[in-house]
Amino acid sequence: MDCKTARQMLDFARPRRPELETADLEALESHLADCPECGPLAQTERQIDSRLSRAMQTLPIPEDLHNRLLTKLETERRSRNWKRRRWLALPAAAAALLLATWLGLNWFAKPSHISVDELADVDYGKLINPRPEMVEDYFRARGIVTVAPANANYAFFSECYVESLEGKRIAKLVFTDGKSSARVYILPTKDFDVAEAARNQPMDGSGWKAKIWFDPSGKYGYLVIYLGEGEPLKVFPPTSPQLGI
Amino acid sequence: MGFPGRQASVQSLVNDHYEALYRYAYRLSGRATDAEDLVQETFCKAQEKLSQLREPERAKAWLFSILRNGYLHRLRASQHPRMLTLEEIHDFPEPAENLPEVEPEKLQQALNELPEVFRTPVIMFYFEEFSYRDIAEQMEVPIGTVMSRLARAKAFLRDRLFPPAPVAAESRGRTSHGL
Repeated sequence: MDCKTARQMLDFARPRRPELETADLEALESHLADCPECGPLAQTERQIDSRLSRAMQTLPIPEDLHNRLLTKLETERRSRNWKRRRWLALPAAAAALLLATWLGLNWFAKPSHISVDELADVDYGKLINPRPEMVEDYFRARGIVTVAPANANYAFFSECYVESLEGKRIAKLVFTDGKSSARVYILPTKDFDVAEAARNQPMDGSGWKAKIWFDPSGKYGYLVIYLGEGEPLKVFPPTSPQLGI
Repeated sequence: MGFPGRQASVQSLVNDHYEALYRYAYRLSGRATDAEDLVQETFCKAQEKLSQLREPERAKAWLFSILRNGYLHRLRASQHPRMLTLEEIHDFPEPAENLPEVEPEKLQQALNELPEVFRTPVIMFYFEEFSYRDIAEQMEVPIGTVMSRLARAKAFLRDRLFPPAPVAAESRGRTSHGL
């Protein structure tokens, strides 16, 4: 091996990590052992490398660094898992909401429970030997304070109902003699312009006629719809204050 | 719970390599606090991307690569104004025959003056655990470039750390290259 080749190969003959084939390494070492120029040169190079390497690696490791690293990694891992769970929670929440909506819709779509007692009690306002105060009690029990027509002929009274008109609950009385009938709607004048209804609307039609009566205080109007052919049922005496026909 | 197997692997990476990584980080950054931060970042990233480590025997090179990328990122962000250009340095006198030991602090001072592209290969070289090919892969440059940068960096360190001999030795050709 000549000196030029030896010096080129020297860089690859690192003592602790040679990067030469064994044959090349042996040839180089043989040349360095014999050559008065390359030998000292290589020795100096290797001394320098040895000292620099030692200095490079001489560095105290901070106390407890190992534990700090493991703690940090554990914290990071938990944080990442939490973030991952948070992202998973979003679609999970959406799915739960959809499920709840579906269950809710199914629940409400089911046929409703029928309370026969309630229906019988609420809708069937049959009164035996009715008097105005009995009618008023009936409606008061259902949350409607009203004044039943005192001068009505309760001999024709059939039943009473709670009706809804313009979003308000009102009392309705039904009178009949078996041939014709009359429905009496008790309308509070504070809620309904009863007189205006009589002025601006036709008060009769096919098979029906209407009249409006008032209680003496004027707080209630009694809209009476007469049904059936022939003479209207005489629910109110002719002398009562009235509007309409 | 998480992944016990994976967690154990990260822990074994820490056990096996944290000291070498810390030394590398310290030599790169020149400061203990920066070095510790870099090592922490490196292992956190390793934990995150552990599935990318296909060859466990390459774990050390992989970790060094992560650390260097982290360091370069910081370097770009901080815009360090230091570093001399090695073009300013030309001939290096031969050192004395009885070479003294190198003081680690002085070594660090000298390393701090080197541009990163010279500092990284010389640190990895003196860690004696990386081949030229490893260093080239880390730096993503050809081996020839690594050799060239190493020669210049070593010459610079020799100039800084070893007092010249009283009588200049015969030029070897290896020491007179302009950096």
